[in-house]
Amino acid sequence: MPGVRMVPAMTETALSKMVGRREGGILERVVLAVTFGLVVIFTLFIDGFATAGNLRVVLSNSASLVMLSCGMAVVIISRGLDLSLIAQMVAGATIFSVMVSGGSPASLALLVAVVAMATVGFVNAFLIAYVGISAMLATLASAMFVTGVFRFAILRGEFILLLPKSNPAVMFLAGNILPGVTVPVALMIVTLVATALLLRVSTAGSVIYAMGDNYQAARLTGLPVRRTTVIVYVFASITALLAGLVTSAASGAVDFRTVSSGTLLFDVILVVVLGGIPLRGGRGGIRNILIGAALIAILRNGMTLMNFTTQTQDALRGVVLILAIVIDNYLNPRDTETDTVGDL
Amino acid sequence: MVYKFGNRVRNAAIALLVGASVALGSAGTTSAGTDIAGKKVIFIPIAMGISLTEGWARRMKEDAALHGYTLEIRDPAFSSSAMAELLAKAISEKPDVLVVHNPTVQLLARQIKQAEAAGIKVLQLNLQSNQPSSAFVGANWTRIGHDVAEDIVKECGAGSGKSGKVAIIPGQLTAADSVMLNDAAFKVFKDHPEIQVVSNQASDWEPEKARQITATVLQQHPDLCAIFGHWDVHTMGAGHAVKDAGLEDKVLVYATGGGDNVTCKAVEDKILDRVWSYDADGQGRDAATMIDLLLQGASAKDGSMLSVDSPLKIIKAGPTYDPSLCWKM
Amino acid sequence: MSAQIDFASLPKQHVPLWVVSPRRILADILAKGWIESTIPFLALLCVLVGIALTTNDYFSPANLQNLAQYSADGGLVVLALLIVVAAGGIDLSVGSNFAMSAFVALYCFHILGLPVPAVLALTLAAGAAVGIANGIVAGLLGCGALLTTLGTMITVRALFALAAQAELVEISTSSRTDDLWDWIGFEKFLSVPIGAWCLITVSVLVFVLFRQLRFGWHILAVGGNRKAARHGGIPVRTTVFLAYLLAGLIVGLAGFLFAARQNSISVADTGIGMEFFALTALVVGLGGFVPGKGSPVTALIGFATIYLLNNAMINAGYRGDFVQIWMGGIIILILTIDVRFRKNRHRLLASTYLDPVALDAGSVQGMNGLMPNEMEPKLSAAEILASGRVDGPEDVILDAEGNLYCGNRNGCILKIAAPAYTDVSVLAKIGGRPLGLAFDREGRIVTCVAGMGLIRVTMEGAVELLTDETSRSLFSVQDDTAIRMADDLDIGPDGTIYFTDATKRYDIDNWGLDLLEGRPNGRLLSFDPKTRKTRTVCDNLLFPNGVCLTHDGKHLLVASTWACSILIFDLARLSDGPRVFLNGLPGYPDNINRASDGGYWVALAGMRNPVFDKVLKHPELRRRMTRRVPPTNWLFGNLNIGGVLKTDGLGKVVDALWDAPDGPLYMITSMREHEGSLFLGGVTNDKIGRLALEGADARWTGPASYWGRTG
Repeated sequence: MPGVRMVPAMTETALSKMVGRREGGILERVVLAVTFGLVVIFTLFIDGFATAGNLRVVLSNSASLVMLSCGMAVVIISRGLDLSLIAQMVAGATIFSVMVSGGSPASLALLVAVVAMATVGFVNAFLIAYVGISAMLATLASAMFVTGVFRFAILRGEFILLLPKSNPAVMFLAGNILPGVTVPVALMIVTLVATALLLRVSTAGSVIYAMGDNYQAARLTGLPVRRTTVIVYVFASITALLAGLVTSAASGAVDFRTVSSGTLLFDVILVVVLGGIPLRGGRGGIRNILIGAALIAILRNGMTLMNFTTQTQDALRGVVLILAIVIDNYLNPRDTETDTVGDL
Repeated sequence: MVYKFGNRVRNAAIALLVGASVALGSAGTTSAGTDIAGKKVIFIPIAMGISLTEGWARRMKEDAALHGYTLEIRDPAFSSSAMAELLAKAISEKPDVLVVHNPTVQLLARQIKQAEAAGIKVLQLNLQSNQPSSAFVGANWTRIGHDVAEDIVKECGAGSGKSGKVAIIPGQLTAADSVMLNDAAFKVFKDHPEIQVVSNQASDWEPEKARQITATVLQQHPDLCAIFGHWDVHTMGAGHAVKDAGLEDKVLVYATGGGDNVTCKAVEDKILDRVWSYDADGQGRDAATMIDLLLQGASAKDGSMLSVDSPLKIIKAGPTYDPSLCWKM
Repeated sequence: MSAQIDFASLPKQHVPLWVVSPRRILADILAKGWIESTIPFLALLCVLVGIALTTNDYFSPANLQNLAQYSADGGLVVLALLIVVAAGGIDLSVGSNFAMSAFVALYCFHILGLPVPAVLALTLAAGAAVGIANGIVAGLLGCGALLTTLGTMITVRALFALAAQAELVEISTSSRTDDLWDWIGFEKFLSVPIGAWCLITVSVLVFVLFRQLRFGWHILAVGGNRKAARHGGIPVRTTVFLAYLLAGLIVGLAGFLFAARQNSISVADTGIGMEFFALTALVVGLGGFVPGKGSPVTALIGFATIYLLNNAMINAGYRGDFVQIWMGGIIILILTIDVRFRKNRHRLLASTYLDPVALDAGSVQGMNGLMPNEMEPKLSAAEILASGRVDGPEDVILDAEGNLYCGNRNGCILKIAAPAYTDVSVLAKIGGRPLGLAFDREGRIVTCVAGMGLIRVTMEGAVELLTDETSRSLFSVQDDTAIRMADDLDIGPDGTIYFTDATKRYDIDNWGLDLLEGRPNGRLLSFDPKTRKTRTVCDNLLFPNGVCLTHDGKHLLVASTWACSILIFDLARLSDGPRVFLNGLPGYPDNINRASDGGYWVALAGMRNPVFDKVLKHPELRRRMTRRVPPTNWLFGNLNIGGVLKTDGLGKVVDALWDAPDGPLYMITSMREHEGSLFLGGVTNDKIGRLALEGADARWTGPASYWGRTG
């Protein structure tokens, strides 16, 4: 069984990459240092930044972002891209919310939402792995389709669904599960653990890294790349669903304009990339997600506390991203000999 | 509790009736019902699928069915460039009346002028463009901003024993309604130095963003007195943040909106405290009436705009709360 | 000494005027370059027909003008993206740049009060500035394009919002009007809006850029293969930089048009989602995300498809959600069909390209007592010359002094000096695959080079291309003017060169497939050195191969390889078509050359066998075989072991020279008689054989036979 013999060797290289012994770790170290620097500066200069209460706010505000980033990270590590993530997040929350508001038990609503989202993820993977449309385009089109279908079929054309805060399911999702630990934070931890298990422990994880490293090689050695693509995109859909549940319960609304404005999607990509997961795929782990999310969350929190306008925050974020790319490029330049066109 | 009509409203309504009767008289026509049957009206909102425009559309459709004119609704789904294209096509179709829902004061000005020049009567809804046209139906944003600010001063200002800290959550700092609301409010606050605006960050009309901003602001200012959200939908996100922080009895959440029953539900749930509603349902009826009049050839005597200033309803939590102030789809 | 040929009494050979086969037409169409954009084009057609059927006045002149006016800026953005994508990048910042440019235009016009040309210049500069930022980071520094432009997209968007926020009220209240500004925004020239003129102009410029200009070719090379472009000396980073700059300029123009038309911007949504819209349009047009391709026409087809679809649906009054479902669904459908079509096109082409017909070469005639099992293998007595030093001498020829010349696989003409025939030197390097050879009256070698055409080589080694194309044949789907496989030639007494193009459908590497097809794919051509005109003498011949002028100089013998026959043309009446000189040969005839006794030598490249003769009668069998069986297992004609036949002047086979089963000269494709010896070459041999002929005229040479005894 040659396929089985090969996996341990591959896991070894994959693990060594995740541990960061290779050159990929430079950016994340820089980002980590910048994050610490920001924490120090904010602590010194902003009242109410270094408080337990604010930490809780940072955590619950970034819970959905981290969950989405987990899904996106897995997709990107397998050298894919999922632009329909936000559409799926809103769509999943829609199903759940509509059913819960209609009086269905939360467990049934969750089951239906999971099945629906898994279907969406499967369709994405099918378009990419079986039909052969490139990931960016397939998910770009499916984002449009998913948004349309869910608005049409479930919301009857509405853009926004408002949730009653009195619903027990909504109250549970927005409340505390343990003293001091809110459900969003708990779900975030669960998602992170699930991502770590998928990437590090499961066989699929090894295949994901192999696909990211060299898709053709992975395919030609007989690894189940198509099946793994399905796993990857279904996993991403489920993380999107969880993020959607948390967000909608917290803000009491499901809002399809989140999809069209695009800022959340770019934030997710920002988290993944700033954490040090290259778009080329093949490397990175949950630590990278945490680092990237920490930078974005702390930046956002600090700037909101300083009453910066949303636009100023955006401008700073854009500059941070460009700086990170340039620094990364300087520390870890591309090899012009192996540089191919597909690497965007 | 119906807010009293402003003088301007009354004047406008009188002018409108006079104008209409003059126009009718000069035309020498008989029955309004038969006269406008078969005429064509095109309605271009910013987007369908939100209670505001759906509420208008419902009343207009009823009216169209009643009087036998055709009403076509074209949905640009929040894209202003699509809106411009739709308007261009609509103008070349030469309908009798064109109903537009301006996203900004300037964006559609040229096309409104074009349409009027082509003999199409343009009815502007909710936000008046720089370019005058045949008619306008909508809320007076400056007045809303002023009234809300006055109320905030009353609740949080000198003598209230509160901190006087206010957070404003506009939809977008440059959206025309947000600009007018903020201008009016800041004018009021200027005379009351005890009122301190601690945050003025736009939510892009999204509840989740409003929630995150509010949660962060509340950390820094747990003694916040009031939040003024420019739209009830995104302000509900802010209200959730207040409720999550357990401050729903201390922080007053103000909002404005179309006043459908979701708003009342939010007030009942203590998500929102006071909502200045411009009553989209009533606006829809006003718009429908205005369309009728325009189709019958109504115009102001001196060629100026016919204008209906929407009456406001104030939905207030507390003992005076009245769910009948909201309308239901 | 030669016998008189009675042309009129020979049986006529039927030659089809044209070859019609649906399968071939399909294959030829599939091989066309424009077939790549079929699916996008069909999609546009479907959208147009769909709209025309479901609406009343959508294509009215007034609305067409509207469409032209409002779609121009979107089209420009698509073209900008096309340039960047062609260079192997991507630009997500087009939407933000568009909004920023529109703002700059309005600011310059309303706040600064500049004249319109200055507004245009500053707007273009603003657009270019974003392009330069992208270009520096993604081009000169070499960072990833997606992330770089994502960063500039977010930053520029935010800067736009901040700036617009500060100035919008003042812009909205400005009352400045300007005739030129309004003219650009609203007026029409020749009833086409100004914006549309801009789009047309830019499209033409982009078209010229990618077709004609060096810079455009550099962009395509960089997009096609960065490494190869760098090795080819193209300044990759500068090229990418300039591509972004150019894209920024075009987006700036689009923003200017928008500002002039709308006279306003919306901070909330001007340019939002534009990058995805443009990307979708580009992808629908190009059928995927393909760098290294710059075709503005297909990009605009994609744009028109998406734009019209969306515009028609919202105009028909469908709600946003419904429109989204259809847009998403239709784009997925188009992409799916397109991706599958592209993936399977070459497969379909490969399975339809080979298009066999029944072929019956008749039974073997006139070989009584001459078959290999009936006589001695005379070739075993041949002496081997230059063994291992010539690679594939398809044809051999000797000059009056007895020096031997042949072509080889490396594309050279080799000279093997008499009398020892041990000294091999390169006479000329041509390239291609030199096949047939002939001496002209001036003693220069004229050769047929497969893949190149007809070439003349002087004894000094100078190479001159005589011709490489003929006129296009009637009803051809694929352009067949190029001479694909020039095979053999001979020169008439008036100097006209007659040569064969053995097959129009296969190259030298897989000419054997022409046998499996068994169709008349070849042609006889002539080239007149005086007028330098190439003429198709006779089209649709069955693998015309060897050419030989008869001894009387009045007729032309042409071997028809798969028909196992030799045809004869009357030089005085070429238009009468060929007649059969000799048929029922036991093998596949290759070159034909004169013999000293007035007869002809015919090389057999391979021998027929009953099994393959049977196979040739069943085209369906061959078609199924080539589709389902790997090529190594195909039943194939024997093109390995042949021999030489000798005929008399009237086409009767009088002798046969066979090889012994163990060699040494397996496949014979040519032979030349020279002073009593026969020199033998083979296209797959690595040697030349020399066989002493008994009773041959020891003074006879080829050049003398053709051009008289000159020395």
